[in-house]
Amino acid sequence: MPTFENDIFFGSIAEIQAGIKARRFSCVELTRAFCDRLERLGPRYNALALSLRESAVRKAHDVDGDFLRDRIRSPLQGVPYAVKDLIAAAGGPTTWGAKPYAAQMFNEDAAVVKRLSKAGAVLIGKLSMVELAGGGGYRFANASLQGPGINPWDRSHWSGGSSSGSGSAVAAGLVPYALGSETSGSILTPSAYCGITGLRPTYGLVSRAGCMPLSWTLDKIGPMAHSAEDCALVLEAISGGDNDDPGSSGKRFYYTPQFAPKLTDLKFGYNPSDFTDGVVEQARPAFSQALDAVRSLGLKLVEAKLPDFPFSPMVATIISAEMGSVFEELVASGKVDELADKRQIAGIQVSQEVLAKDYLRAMRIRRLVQQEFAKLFWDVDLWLSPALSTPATRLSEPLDNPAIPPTPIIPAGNLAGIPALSLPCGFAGNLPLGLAAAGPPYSENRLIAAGKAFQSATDWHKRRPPV
Amino acid sequence: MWPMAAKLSRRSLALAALPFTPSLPPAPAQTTPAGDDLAIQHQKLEQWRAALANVKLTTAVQPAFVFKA
Repeated sequence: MPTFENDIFFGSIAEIQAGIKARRFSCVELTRAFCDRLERLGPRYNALALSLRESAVRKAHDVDGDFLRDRIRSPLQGVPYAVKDLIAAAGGPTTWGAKPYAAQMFNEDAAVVKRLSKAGAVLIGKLSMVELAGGGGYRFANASLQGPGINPWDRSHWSGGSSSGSGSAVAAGLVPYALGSETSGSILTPSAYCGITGLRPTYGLVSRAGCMPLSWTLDKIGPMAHSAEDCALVLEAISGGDNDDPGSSGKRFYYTPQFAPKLTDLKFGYNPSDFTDGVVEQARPAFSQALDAVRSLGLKLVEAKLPDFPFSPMVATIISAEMGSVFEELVASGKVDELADKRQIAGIQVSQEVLAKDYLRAMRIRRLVQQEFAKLFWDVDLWLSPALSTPATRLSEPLDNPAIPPTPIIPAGNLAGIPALSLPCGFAGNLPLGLAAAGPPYSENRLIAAGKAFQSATDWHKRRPPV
Repeated sequence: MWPMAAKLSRRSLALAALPFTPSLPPAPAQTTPAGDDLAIQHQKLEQWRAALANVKLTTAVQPAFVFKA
């Protein structure tokens, strides 16, 4: 049995697979080592919803057999991963982070799990999340069946939501990558708070079949990992059309770094005030340095503005209306009262009263938002902004603090269905910050190229919390 | 004790969820009466409606979803 250095737990997907190919360790040994770490340290961050050790070791045996026969399936073959607990995996519970669903079982894996299994990846666990992905508008970080997501950088702070466990598990080196989901901010927030790289794909690029619906027109599944390149490898494996998801675009992502655009030819739009007035004071020096790092790459920064719409009320109306239908039974049965957060309970109850005309109005304005974003991306190739205006909030702090400046790119980008990448870009005190890059629909290769360039010039994504 | 896939039953899972305690003391007790939370959420609904009403829409603008036969 080889001894595993800490390095391997924070290694890239390519480094980990290289270790298996070079016979430094087998896939079974690697899987057991990651399972040990996830089971031992996961509870420390309230990150673990369920260990899948037995099925993982079985899969790892199969993968070792494939490697012995030189059957190479994908860059993810043999590499362990975990998923947010709203993604179904047959044989174990899928709790959606909520007590009313604590005993819920599915007979079939979600489409993304099937795709990763086909690629030879090894699923080792389910990760905690905010109950029902927080659609009801929760007020406290402890709105989860597994307890509040704890930030590996400072255990008195939140890991972000709603993909809380995915954020802290990747940051603490418990899995090389994880899948999260985003309706409005649930990949970008924990990625920024935990200092990891998160990719929210274009709406419709990744199938949501077998995943908890919160808002059919907003939900996306995406990777959370240590680098932009790792996100690209995972996205390539999970993307693609699916008849079981009516929102599927039928398109697939192919990672083509060899055809990456020359970054010095691209224009990066940004609003300078987003990096000053738009963020809390203690975060300004780090964001200023992040912009300097972007400039040092020779990239063209162009001042621009996001279109002006009531993004937050729009996204809240759409989520509320669609969630109201998804969880109608939960409210009617009274089981909604078993949720942990009182504000969330009230939000789901009130969602039953959203008027059709309000929902349709929000969806019609959304069409205008899409058109305005299309115009924005005629002028600039990518958009840069802080992923969030603050570092992670304290576990004890209510999340509806009016002093926190809003970050419009999160609701705006989700309404437009465009992809975005959160990149670690510095610290405020001991807590990480994230720089967001967004692009037009299906511009993931361009985003990844920009992310890789930024990460080649900085080392924020390589920093490790004191695990 | 964390549940392992081999020892699961629906009943044991439901029971396990009852006494669940996180590894750190969570946020302070939520003392706001439920009625207040409902009132706050109703108020938010009104605020969203008012914000959406400020956007001018022509009759030609269709919603941002498409039904395909």
